[in-house]
Amino acid sequence: MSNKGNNKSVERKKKADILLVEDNPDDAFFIREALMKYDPNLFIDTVNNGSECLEKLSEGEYHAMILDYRIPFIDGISVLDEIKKRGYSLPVIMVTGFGNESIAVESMKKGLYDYVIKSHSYLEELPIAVSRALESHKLKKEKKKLERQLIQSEKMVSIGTLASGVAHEINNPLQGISTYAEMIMEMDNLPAIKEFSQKIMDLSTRIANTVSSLCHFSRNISQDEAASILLNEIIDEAIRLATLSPEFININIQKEYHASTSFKGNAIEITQVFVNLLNNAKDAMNGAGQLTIHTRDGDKFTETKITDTGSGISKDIAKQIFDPFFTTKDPGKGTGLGLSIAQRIVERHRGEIHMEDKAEKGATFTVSFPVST
Amino acid sequence: MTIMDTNSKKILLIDNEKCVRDTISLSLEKLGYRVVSVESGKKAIKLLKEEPVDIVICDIVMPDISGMDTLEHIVSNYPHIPVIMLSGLADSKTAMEAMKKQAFAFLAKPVQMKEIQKVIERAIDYKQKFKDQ
Repeated sequence: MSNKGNNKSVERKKKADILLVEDNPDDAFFIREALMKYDPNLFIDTVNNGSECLEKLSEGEYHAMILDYRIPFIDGISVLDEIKKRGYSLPVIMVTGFGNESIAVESMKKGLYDYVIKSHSYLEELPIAVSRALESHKLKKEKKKLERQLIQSEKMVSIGTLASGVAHEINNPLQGISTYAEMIMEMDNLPAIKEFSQKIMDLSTRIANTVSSLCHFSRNISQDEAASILLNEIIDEAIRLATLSPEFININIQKEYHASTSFKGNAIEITQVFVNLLNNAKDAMNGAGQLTIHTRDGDKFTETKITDTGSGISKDIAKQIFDPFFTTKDPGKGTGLGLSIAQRIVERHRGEIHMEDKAEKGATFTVSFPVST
Repeated sequence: MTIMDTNSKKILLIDNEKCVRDTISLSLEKLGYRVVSVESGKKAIKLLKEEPVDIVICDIVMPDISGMDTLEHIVSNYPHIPVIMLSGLADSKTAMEAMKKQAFAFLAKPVQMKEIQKVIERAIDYKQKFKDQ
């Protein structure tokens, strides 16, 4: 009895590789047999209708799915639509009958990975299509994992810059506090002691402000994916964060804010876009120059232009600036990911980012986001 | 601690932070040193042309001319003046860079006055030996 129970739990724990959606039990049997013959280690879950299929998909992570077009309750196309809507990334292979090629074409447009027509040889073709799909899914997953690691490494660089900025902002007033305290210890003149104590309190407030401006970012900024975002506020936050770095000491920032509409998005990510652009502008100017930030509202979008007075970007380089790992910075200074991450974030918000061609010195980056309707 | 002839020693303090200039110069004066303080490398370079100083204490992150550039200028133009770097950036990379550029010492903020005083005394000894050579 207990043995049986154990087996069951083991079976339940084992993750299935493939979800087979086939209402005809004979077809399901032959498909399973053909796949197992191809790879005996494959683990296949079988369901016989569309709603059960969606239920299974929400329960577990499959690596590929075989979908018969003619299934009860929901047709194959609607299943594909639903998969897309829910954001599942697994490759789907559709099995259709003769004369259903137009359905296959329509399904391919909806993100179908491959299709196999039920011909005399389909049981030989299907395992090949499945193995291709599994391979593609594996590669996709590895790519995603790599991307996550890259974003993490870019964050580490940003944190490093931020940390040295914070260190500088805190250590200076700390020096004052420590020396005032040392002097007080040698004093017995009460009015002078009071004066120095007041100075210690003022410097402590200054440190507290620096710390709170840092915490503000993680505490107050919404984690919500669809928070209402005011461009000017986000840019101010980005400026506050970026300028914590002492490397901004000789950069004059001019704000020309004319935008007032809001848009929906992830505030942390959008802030990251502007921090990356500000840092690039600072580096392009070798740490000294004028940085102009201009915002304005269009009909359907709200736009920001960030212009620096740096060395500019030549045409040959302009083509590559959004490529991951492309950098003109000194070794150890940039990961070459700042702009590619900014671009990915902007595009995820259905916005646009580009560099403007211009004759004069410096570079201008334009970022626009569609406004909420 | 012996006061010796510290009265005659003049220290140039370069820091763009007012609270650092105020406190350190006051403390050093109490210890008997003469102190002249400026808020930028530019002003320091100008001042060095006009009046002699014995020791320089220099910040690193400053507007206009950075502390590192100021250090290089002093080392090449006034090799007999020891330069003590005093920085809010307390990472080993910054310290190494300062030492490579021949800073006399590197101190990380916040530092206690007795620590600064010790380094100043060592710098005075060094300066004396430099003179004797």
